Amino acid sequence: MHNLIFTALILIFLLAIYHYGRRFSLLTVNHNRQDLHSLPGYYGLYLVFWFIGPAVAALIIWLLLEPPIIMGLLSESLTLSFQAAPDDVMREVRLLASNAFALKSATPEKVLLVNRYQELQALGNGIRAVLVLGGGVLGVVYARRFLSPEMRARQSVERFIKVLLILCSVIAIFTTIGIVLSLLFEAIRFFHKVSPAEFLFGLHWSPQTALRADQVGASGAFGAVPVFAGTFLITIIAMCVSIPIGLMSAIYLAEYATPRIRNWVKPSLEILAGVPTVVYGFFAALTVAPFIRGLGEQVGIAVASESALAAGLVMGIMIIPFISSLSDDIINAVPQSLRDGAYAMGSTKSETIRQVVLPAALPGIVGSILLAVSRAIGETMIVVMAAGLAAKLTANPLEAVTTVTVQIVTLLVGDQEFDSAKTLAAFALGLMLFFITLALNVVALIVVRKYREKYD
Amino acid sequence: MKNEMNELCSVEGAEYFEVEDRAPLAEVKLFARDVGVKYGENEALKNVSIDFMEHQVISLIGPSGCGKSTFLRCLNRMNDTIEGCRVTGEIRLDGKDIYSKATDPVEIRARIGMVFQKPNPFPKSIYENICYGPRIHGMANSKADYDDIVEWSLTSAGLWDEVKDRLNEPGTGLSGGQQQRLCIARAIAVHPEVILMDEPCSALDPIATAKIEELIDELRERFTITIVTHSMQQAARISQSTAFFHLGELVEEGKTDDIFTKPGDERTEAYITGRIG
Ligand SMILES: Nc1ncnc2c1ncn2[C@@H]1O[C@H](COP(=O)(O)OP(=O)(O)OP(=O)(O)O)[C@@H](O)[C@H]1O
Ligand SMILES: [Mg+2]
Repeated sequence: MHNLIFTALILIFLLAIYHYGRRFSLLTVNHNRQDLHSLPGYYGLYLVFWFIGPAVAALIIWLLLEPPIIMGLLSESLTLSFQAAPDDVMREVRLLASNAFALKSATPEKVLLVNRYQELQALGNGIRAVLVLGGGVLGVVYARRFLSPEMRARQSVERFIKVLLILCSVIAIFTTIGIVLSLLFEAIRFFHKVSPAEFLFGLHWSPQTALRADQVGASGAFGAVPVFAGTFLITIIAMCVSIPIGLMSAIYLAEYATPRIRNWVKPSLEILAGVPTVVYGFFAALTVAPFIRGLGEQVGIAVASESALAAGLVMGIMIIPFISSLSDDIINAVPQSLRDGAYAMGSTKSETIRQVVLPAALPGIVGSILLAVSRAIGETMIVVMAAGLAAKLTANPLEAVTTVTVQIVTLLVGDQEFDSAKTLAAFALGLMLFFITLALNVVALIVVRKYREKYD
Repeated sequence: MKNEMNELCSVEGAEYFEVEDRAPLAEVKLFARDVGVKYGENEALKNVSIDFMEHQVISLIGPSGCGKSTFLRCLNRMNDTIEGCRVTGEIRLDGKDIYSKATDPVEIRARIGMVFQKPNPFPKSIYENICYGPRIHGMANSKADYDDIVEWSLTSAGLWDEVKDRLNEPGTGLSGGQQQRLCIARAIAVHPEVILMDEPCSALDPIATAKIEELIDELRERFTITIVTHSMQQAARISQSTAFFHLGELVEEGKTDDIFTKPGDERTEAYITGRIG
């Protein structure tokens, strides 16, 4: 609440500064706009940026400094009994501070600590507000001295905007790097507990047994092979569905359909891509899986109620538009002169397509398929709902298998401690998955780019 | 076979010959009467009538946009592939109407080959580029047959010596002039009866151009050739007949020597002396 009011105040303040800069610049030239180098608004913006810059800098510095300072002050009031493991105590204090309910059942010693912590935090908030405002005001006061009719405020604002844009893109990049690093660090912690060899080559996956430390067989088994095998099985089934259908509809759209049909069919195919994956998920679990099971019963084959086949089929349908849409564009990009050449030799339409157009478009088509594969591997919702939970090393599509994404979800759903091998395994799985899809995407992009160079 | 065709021609095309009083029947290979083409509403070509004599080279000349390529594409039904393009009039190959319902355009295109302005080798090896046509038409039984076809075609197109050691390299890796001769070799590999060439030398240097002109002169013994060109000198050098197009109309057509020395129409004269176009 305080923060909200504070932000609103800052915004009003910024508006005031903008107007101040505007007015000030106009006054310096007695309202003769022509004598100003830039439009008056630029002088206002110039001051505004000079407020935001130092204010944000002060904020960042304080955010970095605050936790260690609070920690330091708080540890002074730690009783000896707590000093053995200050980190754990701090974590607990922070949890208690945000949970009034749990606080009621805490020991008086801890309640004391929590109160001290809350005091310090309130103080910190105040200091933060002062620093932010002070930094901004200092910036404005400093920048005001530069305001003069000759000042090239327009160019300065341009520079500020450029810096702003660079910062935004840097944020995107650093977020990605941050995600990868956090995956990496957690995975490394996991590999301290479970050897990489066991994870990569182990054939047995049952992390659930490690839920409680006092249980029998508490160590759990973290062989990821069955999990990845499940992912690949379902991906292969999905590709068996989506590659032929997607490719053939792409060929139809690009080569046979009249523009009118094309304008109608292409968007309808793309609607498939817009269906939320949850919807595909319950379609797979509630319609397709029972159907396959029923079919199996009739011919006397036992089919698990959650089969790889059902999940794979539905995932394949979900992926059709990715393949058809991209391949359609790529087939269209094959130069007409090649088709003309083939027709002029007396080939029929399908001969032309099979022997000239498709070979020419092949690299691009392969690229689009690889993109679809990485999409299938990372797909979560359908498999969570329609594939099984138990990891089983099998190539039989009628059995239930589990996938990497399903395992990550089940490992992390619910209350978890974040340092058990079980939860850390999710990060290791995620890291592997990330590298696999990354590799596929890179290969796909290289293939597609190579193809582009050939015709442009 | 040829006699049969001629008989057909004399039956079906008789009325035109009476009216037009053209050259002797036996030599007419392709025969176009009142050909008109519309792209949607835009009339690109009207009332074009030309006889293409066997074993002759005929040049189509005229300013840009006058409909030369359009006319050429009518002759092997390549216009079928263009959306909204309508062809009227009559075109006969050996007396047989190529636009009748009973005619298969695929078969027509196998008998009337085409070489395009821009070389368009398939993204396959040189060898496979040549074999493409013979393969789809089942013209050979064994690898040896294909080898023969490849060697004969490339030799005829004057390319054999340059590429005989690298037949398995991609056709797209050749130089522009070599690619164009590869396309000519590809076209003659299926033994067409007529070859249509749309500005085959426009992207080539004088040496490659000279080679192709030489080639056209040799090919004339076996094929009937129609060539679109923007070079008056080229038309004069290689063709026996010349047709001049202007604004979608055939202005005049006749012996090349006559057209260039004593043109019958002032538009022709203006064009060949460089005043229009
Ligand atoms: N695919 C097409 N769609 C619509 N109009 C076309 C098409 N191709 C050609 N035209 C039109 O037909 C007319 C004749 O074009 P054509 O290509 O036959 O000219 P050209 O004599 O070959 O010219 P150039 O010497 O420049 O090649 C032009 O006005 C052109 O705009
Ligand atoms: Mg043309």
